[in-house]
Amino acid sequence: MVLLNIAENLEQFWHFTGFYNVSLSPESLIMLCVGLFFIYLAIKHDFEPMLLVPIGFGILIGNIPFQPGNEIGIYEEGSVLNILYQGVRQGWYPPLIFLGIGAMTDFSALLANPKLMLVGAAAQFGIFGAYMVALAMGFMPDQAGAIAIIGGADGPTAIFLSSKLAPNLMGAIAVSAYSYMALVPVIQPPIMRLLTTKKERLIRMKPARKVSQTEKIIFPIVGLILTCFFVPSGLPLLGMLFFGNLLRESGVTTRLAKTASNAMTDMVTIILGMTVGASTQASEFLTADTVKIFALGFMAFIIATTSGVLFVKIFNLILPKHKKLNPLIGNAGVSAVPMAARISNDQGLKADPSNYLLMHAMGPNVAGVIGSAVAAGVLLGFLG
Amino acid sequence: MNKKILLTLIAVIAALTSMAQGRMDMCINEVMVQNGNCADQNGKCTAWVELFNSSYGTNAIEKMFITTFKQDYIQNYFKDQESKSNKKRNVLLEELRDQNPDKVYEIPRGDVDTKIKPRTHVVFFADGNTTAGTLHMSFTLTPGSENYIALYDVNGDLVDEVIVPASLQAGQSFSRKSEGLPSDMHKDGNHSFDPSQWETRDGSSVEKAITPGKFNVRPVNENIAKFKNEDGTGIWLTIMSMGVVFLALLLLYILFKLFGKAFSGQGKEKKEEETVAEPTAAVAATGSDDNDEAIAALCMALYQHLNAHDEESGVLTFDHSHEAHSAWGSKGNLLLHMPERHDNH
Repeated sequence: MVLLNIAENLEQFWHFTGFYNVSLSPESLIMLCVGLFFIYLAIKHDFEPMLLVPIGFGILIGNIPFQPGNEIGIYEEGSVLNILYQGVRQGWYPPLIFLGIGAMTDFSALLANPKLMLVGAAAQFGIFGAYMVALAMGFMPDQAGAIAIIGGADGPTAIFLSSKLAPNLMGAIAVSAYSYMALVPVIQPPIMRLLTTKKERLIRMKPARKVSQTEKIIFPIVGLILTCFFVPSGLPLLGMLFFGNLLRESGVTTRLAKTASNAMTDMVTIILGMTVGASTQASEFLTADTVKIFALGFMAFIIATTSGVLFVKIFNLILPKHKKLNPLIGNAGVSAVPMAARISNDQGLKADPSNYLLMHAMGPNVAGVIGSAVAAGVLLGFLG
Repeated sequence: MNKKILLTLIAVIAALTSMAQGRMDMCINEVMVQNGNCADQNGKCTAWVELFNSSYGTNAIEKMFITTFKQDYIQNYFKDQESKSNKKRNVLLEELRDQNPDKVYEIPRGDVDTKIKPRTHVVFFADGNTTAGTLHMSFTLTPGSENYIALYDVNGDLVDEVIVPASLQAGQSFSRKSEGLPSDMHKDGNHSFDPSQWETRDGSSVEKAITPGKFNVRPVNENIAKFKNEDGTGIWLTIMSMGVVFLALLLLYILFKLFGKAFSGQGKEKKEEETVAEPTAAVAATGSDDNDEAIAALCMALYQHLNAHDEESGVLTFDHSHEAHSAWGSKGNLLLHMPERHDNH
């Protein structure tokens, strides 16, 4: 009798284990491999480790098979993971990340040469080009808008918009956005070389002027008022971005700016990355839509890079000779700060070892952050 | 001290404004005088009045008033009473309620049912049964005759009113054609009854459904439907959106181009002043004394005057010496260091 009870208990325990439950959902093994691959990419190849390690580990957490009903899983109401996931689901984390980005970002490069803002605007065509393709692939307009924002190359923006427009696709969109941001050094250089001539790559840009502190203080205030009067729906992102920047530039809130840019951003990044990873449960993630989303995300990055580079080339036609821009900074309009600007610099140095484009490329790069947040606001305004 | 008073005033004004705004978002949404099918918790089918919170925040409707007294009567009552005493309108409404409980109902405090979530409804039964709970009003409606119902906020200001026509039959409701107040009415504060916004419903079709506690019109995302039908390729949305993105950044560009010119202009003027001042001083220095030390001193003075020195933080720090601590006294010495990867080149 006692032996029978032990056997029953052990069988009950067996049903509780991951080994038993994995037989019910073998596809979770595929997701565990995806998680391990992300961690490998981050540690071995240094691909966006700050994001891919939390996301990769989150995928492992989210795909350990278990018996539902014990408030364990991320989709089970009341579980710890579910509580943390609310920040993603309700869109709380992305604005906090934007606060940190604002506190970290020096807009001097952009203010010294404000015409670079237009490059940041042009690269947003990646979003809308992908939107049209997504519609052609049969997605509804709101889903297409959520997927297309991957082209903004801005993870928090992608999470923010997809949580509002297509929450069921958010996991795939977030992972796709962060994956391609990590792959920016692989995706962008061939396109940049293909679209530019040797002569164009050698263009030396005029050194930037010194930007006064007053300009730097005025920028977040005017920037907020102007952009948010156009797209109030972008207020959570743009408001926090410019607020963070004012904390930095005001010179009287250094302690707040430091906390926003370091401790707070790190904390939110950890929780955001982990919960986004954990939300990619096999049943939700391994679908035909996910494959389409990854394909569309890839296309969005290509379109965005292409439109940024081509815009600079066209812009050069109307600029005087001494003010011409090097088209290699066009790719930086896709935000992905500062990776895209570093790629501009690397490509510039390959063409001319003494032509440093980093600071010039930071202009469109930070303009891309504003541009993608405005684009997200516009999509939310039209489709929300 | 003045600053503190100013900040307190701003906080109070902001709090009052937000409160008033919230209450004004409540409206009367649907009314049924002869109820045939919507039973209350006791299984009784009585007349009901549905309120709707048209805002995107929770509204506490406690201490608001629902009355069948017409607006003119209440206004005259207010004028009359205000000339005699300086009582506030909500106090006057409370007095009116005490005098006419069969015509004025004050929503009680402290009931969870009076916290109306965003974009949701609450149904009050007009059955005159004050012992049945918060959602049962102290007055009834009269079938076969015109029924006037008004909603007043906690300050005694009119929020919304409706005149239910006498022609309303049994089993019919008088309902807003679409949910909530038209957006322009929110702004101008004019909440007076507009018959064109209302219709009679008999439940004969989806469009004519009687919907206590539910949306009068099934909510659909019109934007998505519109873009799906009229912009299947997405080209128009693309053009409009890119236009907005470009316009926003173009305006920023123009503004900061102008700011840049203005600020670099100021810099130029300063520089010119400095360059003018420098040779004069130098000439003066060489003219008065040829002594090398004096020239050096003048140059140093000019150097400092032109603010050309390095900026110092002015912060004094102590350099802690870790060697002084033993492993017993310092946690840092007890813990392992974080692993760091070193690439082998």
